[in-house]
Amino acid sequence: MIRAGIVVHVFLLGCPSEPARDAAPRARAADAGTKTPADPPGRAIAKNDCLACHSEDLLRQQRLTQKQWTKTVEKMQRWGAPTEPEKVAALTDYLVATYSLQAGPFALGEAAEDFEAAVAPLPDGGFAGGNAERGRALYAERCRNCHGEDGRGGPMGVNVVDRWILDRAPDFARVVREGRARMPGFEASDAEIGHLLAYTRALR
Amino acid sequence: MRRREFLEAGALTAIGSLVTRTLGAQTAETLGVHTASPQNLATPLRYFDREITPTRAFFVRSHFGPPRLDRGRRLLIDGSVRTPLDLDLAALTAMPQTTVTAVLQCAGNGRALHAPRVAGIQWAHGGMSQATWTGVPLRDLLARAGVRRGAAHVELRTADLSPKPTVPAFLRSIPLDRAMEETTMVAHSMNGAPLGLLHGAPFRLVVPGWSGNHWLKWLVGIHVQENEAQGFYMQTGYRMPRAPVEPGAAVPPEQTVPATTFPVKSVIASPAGGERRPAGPQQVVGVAFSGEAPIAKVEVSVDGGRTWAEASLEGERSLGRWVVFRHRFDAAAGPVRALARASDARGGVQPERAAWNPSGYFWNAWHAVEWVVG
Repeated sequence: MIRAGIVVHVFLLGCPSEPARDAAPRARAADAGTKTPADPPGRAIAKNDCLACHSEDLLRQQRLTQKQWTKTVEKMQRWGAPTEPEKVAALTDYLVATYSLQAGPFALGEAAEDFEAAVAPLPDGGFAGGNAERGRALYAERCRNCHGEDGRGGPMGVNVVDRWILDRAPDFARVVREGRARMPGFEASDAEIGHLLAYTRALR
Repeated sequence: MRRREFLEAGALTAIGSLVTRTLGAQTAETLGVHTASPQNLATPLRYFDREITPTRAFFVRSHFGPPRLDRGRRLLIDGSVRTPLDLDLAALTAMPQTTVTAVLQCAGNGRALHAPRVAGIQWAHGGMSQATWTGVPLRDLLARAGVRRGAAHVELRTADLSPKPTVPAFLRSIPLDRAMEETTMVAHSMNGAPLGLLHGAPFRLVVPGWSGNHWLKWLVGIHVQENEAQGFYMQTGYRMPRAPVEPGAAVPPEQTVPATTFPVKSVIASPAGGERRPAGPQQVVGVAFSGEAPIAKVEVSVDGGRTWAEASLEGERSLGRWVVFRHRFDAAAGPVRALARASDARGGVQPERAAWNPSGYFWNAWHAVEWVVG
C-alpha cells in the first residue's frame, strides 16, 4: 500500500469512564506483534484466529461487556473462526480485559492514504508469465488443504477466488511468503508466485 | 513509519486535545480508518460543510472487501422476467442515463454514540457522504426485461465472496415497488468519474433515502422473484425493533423489521469541537437530510434548546439528499454550545435522543458542538 498517510486529525469517542492515559499504550501493546512477558495467551489466539478475515483495528474499537464478547466469539465460531473449544475462554477473557469500557476512549486515526490506489491492479513485473497448470500443482501441494479444492476457503483458509489482491502480484507474493494469521509463509520463487497467480486467477 | 504507528502516535497526541494537525498535510483528503482490512473508512466531520463529498474523502463500508477490478463484469437481470438481460458497461451506458445527487449513509452510522454500546464498526458521524450518481434507472432495466405477474422482490447479487463458505454471503433484496421508484438506479459513475473499486466498480445500486445496506457494490445480478432474499443479512442482520425498546433490551426476531429508510438528521461540521474562535460573528455549518422527505428546515440553538433560530439552507431539497445549513450569530467571549435540529417535509423532527436498538442503527439525535470564543 502507498504510505503517503499522515495523521492530521484524531477525535475521541466519548466513554463514561476514561482512564485516557491507558488507552494508547494498551493499543500499542496489542499491535506489537511480538511476544512480551505480559502477553496473555488470548492475544496470540486473537492474532491467529481473528486476523485472517479482518484486521486487529476491528477489535480495538469495540467496548463490549463479557456477555457481548461471548456472543461475538460464538457468532464468529459459527462463521468459521478456527478457535479450538479449549481456547475459547482464554480468547474471550483477553477481549473482555482489553476491549471493554474500561479501555477508555477509542481514538480514530485519519490517514491521507490513497485507499483506491492501494487496491488498484499493478503490473505483474517479475511475476509475469505464470503457467496455470504448474500453478495447479503448486496449489494442490501447498494451498489446497486450507483454502479448499475450489479456492473458496475452508476451516483454516480464506477464500482466494476473485479477490483484488490477485491483481497486485507483489502484495500476493508477500502474503504467500510471509503468511498471515494462522497461515505460515512458504518459500516460493518469483516464477512459482507467477504460476500460483495464473492458477488462482482462473478460479471462478 | 507504518500507518499503524502513525495512528498510535496520533492517538497519543490526541489525548487531552481533541484536534491535532501536522504541517504539510492540509491539502490532502483524508479518511478515518475504522478497519484497514476489509476497508471501513470514515469521512471526517469537516467535510460535512458542502454538498458533494470529494470521492477521495467518501466513506467506505465493506463486509468482505473488493473483488478483482473487472470493468468487463456483466450484469444479469433474470428470474421472473420475460426476457433476461445480460449487460456490460457499454450496453448500460447506451441506455438513457439519469443523474441523482444523494446521501449514502451506513445503517450503523452513529453506532458508537448509542449507549449502551453494541458490537460492530464503531462509526461516529463518518459513515455518510453525498455524491452525484449516474446510471440507468432500475425501473427502465426491469421494464425492458418485462417483470412477470406475482414478482414482488429483486434479489441483488454481488461479486464479493465471503472469506469462508461458513460466512454468510452478503445477499440482499429490495421490494419491487422500491426498485421501481424513479431514483433507484444501477450506477456506473460517481461525481462524474467511473466508480472506483472501493465504491463498487463497475456497477452499484443507488437507493436514495434507504441505508447503505441496499446500495450493493460490485453488482452482477438482479434476480426478480416472489419472496425476499434469504440469509443472515436479511433475516438477522439489518433489522430494527418494530417499536421503541429500553436501551440494552433484547429484542426477539419476530419483533423486528428491516432497517430501510433513514430518519431525519443533521450534523454540524464547523466549528469543530474544542476549537477557539475570535469573539464576534460566529457561523455554524453542517448538513441535513432525511430518507422520508425533503428537508423543510434546520434550527440551531445556542442556549441549550430553550430557543431555536432557523438556519439558511443551500442546495436542492429532495428525499435522501442533503442540504447545507448555515447559521450566523454574534457571541461574546466564553464557551459556546450549539445544537442543530432538522425537520423534514413530512413532519419528521430530529429527536433530542436517538432510539437505541440492538444493532446501533440510525443514530439521529441532535448534534451538539462546543467551542470557545475569545
